[in-house]
Amino acid sequence: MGRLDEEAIAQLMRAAITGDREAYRRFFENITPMLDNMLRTISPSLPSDLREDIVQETLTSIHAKRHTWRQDKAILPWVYAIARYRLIDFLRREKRSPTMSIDLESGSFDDWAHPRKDTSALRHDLEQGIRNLNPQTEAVVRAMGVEGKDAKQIGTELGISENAARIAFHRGLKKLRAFLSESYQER
Amino acid sequence: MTQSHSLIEEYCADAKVTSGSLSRHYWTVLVLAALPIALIGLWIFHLAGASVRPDYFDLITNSGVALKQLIPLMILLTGAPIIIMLMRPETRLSGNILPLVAALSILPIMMVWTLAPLTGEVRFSLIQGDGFVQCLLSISALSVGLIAAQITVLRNGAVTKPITAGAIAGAAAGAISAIIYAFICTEDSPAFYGLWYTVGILFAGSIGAAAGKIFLKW
Repeated sequence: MGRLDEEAIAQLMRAAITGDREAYRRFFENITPMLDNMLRTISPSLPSDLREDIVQETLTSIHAKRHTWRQDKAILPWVYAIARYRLIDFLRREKRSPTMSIDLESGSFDDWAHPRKDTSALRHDLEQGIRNLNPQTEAVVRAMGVEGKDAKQIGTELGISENAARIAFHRGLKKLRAFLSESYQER
Repeated sequence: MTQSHSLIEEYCADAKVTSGSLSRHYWTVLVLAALPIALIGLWIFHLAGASVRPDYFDLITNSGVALKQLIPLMILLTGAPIIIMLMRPETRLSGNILPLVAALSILPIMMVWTLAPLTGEVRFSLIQGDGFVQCLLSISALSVGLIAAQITVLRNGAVTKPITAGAIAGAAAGAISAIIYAFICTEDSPAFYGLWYTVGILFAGSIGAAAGKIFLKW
């Protein structure tokens, strides 16, 4: 199923409000991944099971409060406002806010609507993955992969051989790949 | 997302024609609450010896007296659209609150304007009037039912700023109460009603804010 644009999603909701079940199903199917992506962006440290709980609570609220959407207004700000409210309510209920980072202003409707365009979550995961490496491998991956230095230069800086720097880089990439694929399978 | 899918199935089965205007619902409930509250309130005042002023219709043509009800009416008419907007979750307050702030500022400005050229003792007697306690108690008491009625309507919405919505609903309730109270209030100096009506309206606003915090969760 192709991803619909905002007006098409609004059209589905308009039809749903007149009792069209199929349109309602397609509406939910379209916004569910968007909600998941939005929550991942604004609260990256939220575990995936809790994120799913909030998505479900948001779907329930959307259903219960669908009469509060003004049909001549954009639908995604309405959907995301409900999701934000549910997220804040959840964090308050669970008293998680001091330990769980949340940035309500991060990302945009467009980012959340098109997950593949969203690089902030990926950046976050990459950073997490790099931090998980051992200190020497982390230094090599940052120097070679992020700063673009060559193996010889890195070897000199870190006091290791050029070959050892190359091996460390490849090991680091392998671990990063494993970390990212595990993290994306969760979604 | 399996659970999400079963939820979606459940909600799709429950898809039905949903209609109704939040604005119409708000005004209907407000009017249906305000009319009996006004009638019962005025009847209780009458029993307590404070009847509607016999010369009310003559006095209302005097602009100074008319303002006692017109300005609270302005507060109501500028506050109500914001309350209705706040029933939608995505509403962000910005410039749209300015007309309400302007309406709320008129009575204090009139009070200062009236008191500025006067001396201390005259000022004090004008402010004190004959019964500011009665004024405050009456506006607050009349507001309670009106706040409750609005909270009921707001609960049907998706309010994401419960304290703000409750506070504005409280101020709107205070404004209606001031309009009702003005039918029997014989204090016609802006130094009196400019202060005490405003205090009454703001006090009702604080009751509304507390009610919003408690009752507007969803």
